[in-house]
Amino acid sequence: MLSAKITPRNMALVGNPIRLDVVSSSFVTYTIKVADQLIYSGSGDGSFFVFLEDILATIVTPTKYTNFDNNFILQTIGNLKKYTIIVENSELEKVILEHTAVVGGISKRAMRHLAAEGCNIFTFKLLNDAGNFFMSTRTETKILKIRETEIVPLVFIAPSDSLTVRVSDDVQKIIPLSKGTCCALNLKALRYAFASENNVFASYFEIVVNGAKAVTIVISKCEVEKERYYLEFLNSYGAYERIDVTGKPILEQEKLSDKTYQVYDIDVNDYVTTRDRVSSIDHITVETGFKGEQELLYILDMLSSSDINLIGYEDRQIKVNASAENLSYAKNMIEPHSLPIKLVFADSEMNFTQPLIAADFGTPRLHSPEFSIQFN
Amino acid sequence: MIFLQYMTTTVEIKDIEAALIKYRAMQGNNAKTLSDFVSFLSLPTIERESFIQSLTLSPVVCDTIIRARYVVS
Repeated sequence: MLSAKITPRNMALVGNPIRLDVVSSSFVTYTIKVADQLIYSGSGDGSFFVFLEDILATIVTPTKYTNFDNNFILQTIGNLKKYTIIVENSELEKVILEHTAVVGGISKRAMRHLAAEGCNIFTFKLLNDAGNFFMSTRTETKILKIRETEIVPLVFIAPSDSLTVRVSDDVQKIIPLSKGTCCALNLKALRYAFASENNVFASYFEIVVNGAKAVTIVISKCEVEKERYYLEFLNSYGAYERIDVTGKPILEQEKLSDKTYQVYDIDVNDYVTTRDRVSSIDHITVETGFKGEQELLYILDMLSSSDINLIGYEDRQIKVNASAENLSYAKNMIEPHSLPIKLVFADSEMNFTQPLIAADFGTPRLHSPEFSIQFN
Repeated sequence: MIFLQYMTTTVEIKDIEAALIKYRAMQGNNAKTLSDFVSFLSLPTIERESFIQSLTLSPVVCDTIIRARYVVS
């Protein structure tokens, strides 16, 4: 006798428990394969269960978009992977289970809430064509508000074979999808396409699936700021999102090791104090700008992220770890607050190099933007 | 009592071709493309605010969302 099942059924987030239950009358071996490639094998005697999320986390990887092309839909590479578990016992009985692992996770509180409702995050949200199915932690409501400086491709699992993006009653685009695949909606390309093909610059998009409005995307206005930086982070759903931070960052340097030692100097016949190069780590303090209560949770998600990059501070992205030293006043907020965020650079440094700019290392040319390429 | 929380979109332009002509008429912009103009409208700058001031606001209300739609006057 042999039976096996995976919970949750069909599809699961690797950041939450994924359980394999086996009931057998004899010794069992199980192997996990992705497209015939062996990922893991294990065994157990009789009936047992095992949690697979840590193993499955190694087969999925979030997609980071650097250069957006003009496609409305961008493909993801490793956000979603189908895998097979082959369970066999010593009586030569075999069960083959097909399942899908998806990068990301939800809070324990949300898991308990969904379990009490008798559903899971896929039926409730991610594959629900009647609601906000985007893998954004900005909001779970049907109105997805995004600041104009924070637009990045919106990752989602296609809930249908197509979706319609409607700007007004007579202006819309139908976008074909491959149901069940993980992809991203390229808002920048859509905005440009509506401008070039429909003569409208839009900041309001209704996402219609199977004839009904699922979610409305609202691009909101930002104030003009003298200095603006962006934190691009991996959210809980395994999608990269962006928060803009404003104000003048304060850079501080923390010395990590400043050990000195004595070296004999023959000229003076005595010991002199010396040291190796000092390693230090930079951290900067920035302001989030004024945020409402819903945006606070979004910031908390950023603060918990394993991958945060600071953009706009130097020419290239800088990997940082973020923390908020004081969130106490932000709880039960009745008015928007700006939170100070401490960003600690991931790399410690003992050697310092001025920014390397490619233009300074090429053949000398007329650099001024007033000159066209004909001059070069 | 129910409080409705309104939100406002950033700038929208109904006839972007007419707005582009106006944008190109500004000093130094005669070679700007539609792509340049969309990029210009997409980020908050003093120049954008100044340009928007030259258009006419014609807001559209969709439920609790106010669309800041501008038209070329």
